[in-house]
Amino acid sequence: MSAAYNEYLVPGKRGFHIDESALMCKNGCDFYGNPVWQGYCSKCWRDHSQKAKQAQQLQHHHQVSPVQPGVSGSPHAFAKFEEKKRQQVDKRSKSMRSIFKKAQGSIKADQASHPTAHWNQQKQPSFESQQVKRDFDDFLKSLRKPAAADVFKQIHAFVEKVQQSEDMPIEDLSEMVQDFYQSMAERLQTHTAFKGFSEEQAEQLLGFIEKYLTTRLYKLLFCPLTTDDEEKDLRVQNRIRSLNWITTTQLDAEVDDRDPVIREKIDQAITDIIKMDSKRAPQDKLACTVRCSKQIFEILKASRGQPASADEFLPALIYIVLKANPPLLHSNMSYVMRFGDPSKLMKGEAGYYFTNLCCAVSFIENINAESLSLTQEEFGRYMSGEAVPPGGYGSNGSTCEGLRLMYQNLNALAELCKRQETLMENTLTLQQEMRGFKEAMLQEIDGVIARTPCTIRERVKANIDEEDSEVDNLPPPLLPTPASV
Amino acid sequence: MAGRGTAQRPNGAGAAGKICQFKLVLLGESAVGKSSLVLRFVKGQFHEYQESTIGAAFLTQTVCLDDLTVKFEIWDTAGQERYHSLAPMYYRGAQAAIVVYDITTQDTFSRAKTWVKELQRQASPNIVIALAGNKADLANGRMVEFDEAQAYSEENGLLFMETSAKTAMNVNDIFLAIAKKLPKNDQAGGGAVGQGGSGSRRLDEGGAGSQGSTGKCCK
Repeated sequence: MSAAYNEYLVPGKRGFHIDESALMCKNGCDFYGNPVWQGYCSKCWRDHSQKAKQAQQLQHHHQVSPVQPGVSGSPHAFAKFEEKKRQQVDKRSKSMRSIFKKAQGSIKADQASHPTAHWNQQKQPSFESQQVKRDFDDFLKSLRKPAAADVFKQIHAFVEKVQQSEDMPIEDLSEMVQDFYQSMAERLQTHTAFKGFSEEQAEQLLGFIEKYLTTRLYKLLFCPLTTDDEEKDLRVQNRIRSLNWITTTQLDAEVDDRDPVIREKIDQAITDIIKMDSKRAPQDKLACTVRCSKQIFEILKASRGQPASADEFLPALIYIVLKANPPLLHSNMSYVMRFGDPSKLMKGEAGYYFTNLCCAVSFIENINAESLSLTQEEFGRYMSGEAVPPGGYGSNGSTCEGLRLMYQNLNALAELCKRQETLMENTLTLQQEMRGFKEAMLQEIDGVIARTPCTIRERVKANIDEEDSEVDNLPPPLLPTPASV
Repeated sequence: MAGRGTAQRPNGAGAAGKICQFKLVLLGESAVGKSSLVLRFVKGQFHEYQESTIGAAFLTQTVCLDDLTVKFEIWDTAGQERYHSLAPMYYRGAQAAIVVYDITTQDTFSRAKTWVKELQRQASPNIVIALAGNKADLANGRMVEFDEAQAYSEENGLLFMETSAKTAMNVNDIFLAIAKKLPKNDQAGGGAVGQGGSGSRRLDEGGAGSQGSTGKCCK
């Protein structure tokens, strides 16, 4: 699947061109190709898929293999019916989601026979739709009247068009939406209603158009039944779950997941990446990726004490994705690639972090013993849950709080034990040193005593009354003389 | 935000009229100083990081060339061997690449060569590739001879400089040299900002042709 992500990352349209040879249509018609259309340009892709459709109709596939939308183009109507049925049977017990989907599928079937059902559904737009409609209306009010009116007209015609062609394969829908972005971008530059629009205004307006469209049409565009997105989601989810034993050291991620402060930041990053699923517009989903990435830089800075580079960032992101196991990750990423602005995925900060996310998922899908510097045997044992890698308490932490606490306590105890030991050792050395000091001191004192023997000389008594020749030489005592008045 | 360097630009954005934007990827083994090189280029720092720098994985910097402003968008990649296979996802669509090695380790030079080979095979055919022998300040421990690397670069049509993020030697120069070598005609350059959302869906033959002539470096 990494190849699939790779391909998506080639910019297709909206005037953002970097790598011609990779971008040109596979047919060699000098037009640009788009990975969503398998590298063909829109025209050649249409021809190609038309041919594929015809070929399929001729062959009459009764035995339907899982439909690879990217490969077989649009399935034949009957094949599609079969496919839906198969999905409904297959996924009965898989997830709550599929149950909802099923219900939706049956509504769609009803709508096919009663076209008016569309309008019923439209009368109760979701909360998000109402919200974005209000925001969009406010934004339109800030524009000049003719411009606002034109945008409004275009967009509503398009929404209707998409709603009527909801059973199209997702590649065609993606093409339609991207074509619409493109034509709107061109319209902003050429149409008289938009004369005098600044670059920024145009950019903002296009952003709003993308947001409004994708939010309104989210149910149609996100993880549609015609694709195997849901299966892939489950596959990624299970894969991540089976890898929950991976430690930071095995990935080269310098994340200190023992520190409670950093743990909090990790939780924040996990929340950010999980939030991606709750947003509807591709730009908002991208914003979640960016927020998560920034949080990861904070984590790395706190763990290492200096700013991180990509050498540290990618492993940390992989670690966060493994810990978070974001819901419907594959669907979310495909959705962003199908309906987001392709130039934003190739350029800029959001593009960089999204590329990293694609890399992280690709790495996770292809993880093996070698990529974690483990032996095949070790890897097998960790995968089967027979063993837990040393120092991997962090990985168990998010699955079981009690276990995490236990590990934390064990770790704390081990740490205390170690400290106790060093303390003991230090005490012993101190004791020994004291003893040595005492001995050395005594020795020194002995030495000094030996060098300076204490002999007490006999005291000579002096007799001051004794006659002495020296006394005779002294001058006579001074005589008092009366003072003359 | 991850360090959108506004202060201390070595070549601050001047009043030049035209702005070209290019994506540049950094490849190289993990401890060769890729990010130090970029931090030196973008922020003029080495080790004494500013508070504002939270990461050096994605950075932008503008350089001025005569009447032209070239804006580099620098994408750093993880250099560890285990992440090597992911590199194509980063350099796809890049107009320039700097492959960094450490002159004190022979291994990093051999890995740099594999990256160069890979870029020539898989990246855009017009990509400008520069080879940077970093840590030139540690010439005492040199394991990769200057002449050897230069001969290799000439053979493969690469820009080559020995750099030092620590002393700032050749850091700005290598980026400037790349900027000079990049094709600047806005259609093909993929970057003239003014062309942002326009419908340049079709590339005229002339644009591709003239770009081909400047892109001789990697053929």
